[in-house]
Formats: sequence, C-alpha cells, structure tokens
Amino acid sequence: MDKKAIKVPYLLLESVTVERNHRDVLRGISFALERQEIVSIIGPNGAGKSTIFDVITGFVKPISGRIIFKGIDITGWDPHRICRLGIARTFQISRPFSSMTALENVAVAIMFGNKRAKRMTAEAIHDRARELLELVGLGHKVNTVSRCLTLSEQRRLEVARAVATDPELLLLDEFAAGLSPKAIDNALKVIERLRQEGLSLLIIDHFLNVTARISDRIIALHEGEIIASGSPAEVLKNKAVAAAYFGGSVDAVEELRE
Amino acid sequence: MNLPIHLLAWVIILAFGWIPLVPENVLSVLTTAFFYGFMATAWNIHSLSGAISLGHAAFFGLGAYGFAIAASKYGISSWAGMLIGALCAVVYALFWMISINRLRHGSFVLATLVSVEIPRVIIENLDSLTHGSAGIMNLRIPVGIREWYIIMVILAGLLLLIHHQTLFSRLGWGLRAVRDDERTAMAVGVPVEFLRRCTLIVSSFFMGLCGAFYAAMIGLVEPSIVFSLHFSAMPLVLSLFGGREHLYGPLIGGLILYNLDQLLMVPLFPEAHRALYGIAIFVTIWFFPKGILAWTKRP
Repeated sequence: MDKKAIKVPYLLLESVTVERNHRDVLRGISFALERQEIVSIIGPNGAGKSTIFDVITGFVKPISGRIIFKGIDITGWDPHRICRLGIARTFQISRPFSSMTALENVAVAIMFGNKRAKRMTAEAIHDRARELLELVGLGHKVNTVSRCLTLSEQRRLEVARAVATDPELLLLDEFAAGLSPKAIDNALKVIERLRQEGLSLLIIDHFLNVTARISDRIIALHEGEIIASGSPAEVLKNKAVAAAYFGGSVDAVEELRE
Repeated sequence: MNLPIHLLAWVIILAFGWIPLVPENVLSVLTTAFFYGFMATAWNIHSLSGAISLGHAAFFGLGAYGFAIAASKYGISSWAGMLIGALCAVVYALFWMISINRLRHGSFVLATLVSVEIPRVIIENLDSLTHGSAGIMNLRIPVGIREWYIIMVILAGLLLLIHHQTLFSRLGWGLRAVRDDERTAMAVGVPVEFLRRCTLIVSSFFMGLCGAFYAAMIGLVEPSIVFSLHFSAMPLVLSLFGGREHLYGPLIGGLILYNLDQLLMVPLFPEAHRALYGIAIFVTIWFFPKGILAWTKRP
C-alpha cells in the first residue's frame, strides 16, 4: 500500500453524469482525491454537492462515467458493499436509528461496517463504540435513545457512526451545520485527528471560512459542473465562484470585496 | 434470559398432550391456538425486516395446495407432502423477491394484498389438477388430537429459536437497523436487500408449512378458504397484540386471542365471536401499541 498507491489516484471520478427527473444534476464530473487529503466541495444550493456523495456511496447510480476507489471500479455497487470497502458517509439531515441508544447506533455500525467485527467480542464492540462517542463529545450520552438527542448531538452521532465502520475515506455532509463555534472547533480537531490516523476526507460545507481552514483543496460546483478547483485561496478568489455563490454579477461581488 | 425456566415451561405445556387432564375439545382449541401462534411467529419473522405483509395467505394457500396435490394426485406420504407444500410457498416468495420486494410502505402492503389473487385464480381455473373451486377433499392424515397438539407445540418451540435469531443475534441488530432507517442501515454496511430476502424465504417456508398442516388437520382445501384474507390478517392481529419485538409476542398473541375467542366468545356470542379480533386491534393501538408483552421487560 505504499508506492503503488501513490501512482493510482486513491479515489477517482471519471466524467460522472447523474440524471434525476430527466434533468442532469451532475454533468461529466471528474476529479481525484489522494490518500490523507482533505477536499471540500462548495457551491450554492442545488449545485449537486450531495448528489456527488450519493453517487460515490452507491445511493444513486450514474448514467455514465466511472468511480474508482483503491483501483477498484465501484460504479453501480450497492451502498453496503461500498461501505465495507472503506467509504463511509454522513447525511445532510441526520437520520439516526431512532429506537436505539447512541451506543447501539454506533455498535450496529461496527458490527456491519467494520471488517474486523466478526472477530471482536461484544465487550470489544461496546468499548470501541464508547470510545468513538467520546471522540465526538457524546461520552455522557451513550445510553440516551438517539431520537431524544438534540440536533447538534445527532450530527455528532452521525460522525461517530460513520467512523465506526472503520473507513479509509470519510464523506462529511454539512458537518458544521447547526454547531456552535466552539463545537465547530472541536469538530475540526476531530477531523485533523482522523486525517492523522490515515483517513482521507471529502467535505461539504457552507461555512467558507471553516472550509478554507482545513481543506487541502476546494472544488467549486455550479449547476452540476465543476467551475473551479485548487487551493482554498485560489478558488475563493475565483470570479466565477463568487458569481455562482452570491448570485449577482461578478462586478457586484468585486465591489463588495473592496 | 433464563433458559431453565423457559425449558421447564415448554415441558409443562408439552405434558398436556400426554396427561389426559384436559378434555379433548379443549385440547383441540389449544392445538389450534398454537397453530395460530406458529403462523403469527412465521409472519413476524418477515415483518421484522420492516415490511408489513398482507399477502401471507398466498404462501398459506400454496402450502395447502402443494400438500393436497402431492397427497391426492401423486400419493406422496403426508410428511414429505408437507415439505413440498412449504417449498411451493418458497417458490412464490422468489417471485415476490424479483417483483414487489422493491416496493416500500403502502405500495408494498397493497401489492402483497393483491398478490394473493394470482395463485388463487390460477388454482381455481386449473381444474384437471386442482378440481377448481370445488377443492380437494379427504386429506386428513391419521393423527390423533394429542399427537397434533404435541407436534404443534414442538414446531412452535423450534420456530421460536429462529425468531430468537431474528430478534437478538447480529442479524437481529441488522433487521432493527433496517426497521429504523433503511438508508442509514445501508450506509453503515447492513446488507438490507439480503436481509429482507432471507426473512421472506424463511417466513414463506413456515407459512407454507402452516397451510399444509391446515389441510392435513381439516382434511380439505378450497381456494376461497385457504387464500382468504383471514390467513393474511390473523398473523398481523396476533403479532400486534402480542408484541412484534418480543420473542413470545406473536405466539402469546395467538394463545390469548384464539383461546379467548373459542372458549369465551363463541359460547357467549356465537354469531359475532370474531369481533374480538377487531376489538383487540383497537385496544392494542390505543393502550399498548407495542403489544401486550411491552409491559414485561425485554426477554
């Protein structure tokens, strides 16, 4: 997994097109992601950000194009297989297993997503789940039924549950939405720690300042197409991005900046 | 879970079959109660994957007809015939798997309800094999009521072992995740479609076995009886009443409701005794939507 992995991109999307209701929501998207890289996807509502996540994790099948992860073509695979191969995700709107406690939510994810789970005892799964909940700051809520958690707690549970499947690539959808500035700082620490443990991350977020702080690269999306990609500084200066984001003309944005 | 106590309870229940303490007509009611409890448990194994089926009468009817045709046309011995009946039901479950299993919620329920009509109409019109709507008679196998009782209790006990797996094993956790949120379950690696198929196959097999037992106990099959809504709705009512997420829920539902029906309602209201099941549904949904066993702790 050392020299070879460097040559083949870790995750590769090749001109992926997705159609929904006879409308293209993604049009020929291509990009690559390297190991231990943090890439953010930005763009206005309806640009197709969440659809990129859906298509990578198998919830939506592309009408053309290929998705390659670790050199394996995973286009058209079922979500649970993609999860077991090492891609985990969170959802924009958190959807916990509502009848289960926080601990059980994470434990189920370990049982099914983690390839080593079959050799783990019930206690080991339990301990690992507790450890993950402490990582996201839910150590005091392990036995709370998840539908009784606050929204921000549910979002953090979502992250713990995704990490529980022992992923190599983690897709975080709007992880900072609804979190207080302090909670965002904690979340960023968690992300940095996950990266050091060897994970790659693909992040969707609305807070550009937060995104800029942690990303190695940013991909800007508009109406299903990539309009800019590069380092945070480059992309945020890009005129087309500003225009797409603020709706108005480029000049108006320029004026705003000055 | 206290295993010795459970085993003791089962031995005592079984003993009723040997000790001539209970009169035969009561024992016959008890046997049928276990029969319905068995049926409800079989149905519930499928419902634990989050899909409510109103079409299990299809499996029931096919089980009954599979047995009836094997016995009357080909003279296959009764026990092998029952297995054939159960396998007929599984074949129809395979058809479900490629067609209506991709539906969800209301559409799934309606599709299952309608799917009962397909085998019924075919059997009604396949006169040469099935005698059409007249049905097939003389199927009763020479087994006494005490033996039937013992067979039903043992089968119900064995099915509970499977039911236990669908509730409390790793598979059970997967099914619970599917019930809570299918999409999230997929995202954490639960093979949702595989689990749904497994429960359907197992459930249809035992539902078919129920049908075969019914034919062998009553002695005749008729399309309008074995494919009637009764056999789709009964397991639903009994499971809801007993508690769908409890090991003994469907079985207890069957034992309580059927015995109440036959031993109390029939003597009191011979015409309207079945109203009990309707009332049971109302009471369940109002007062204990998780079933009567929700009052006890999880086993």
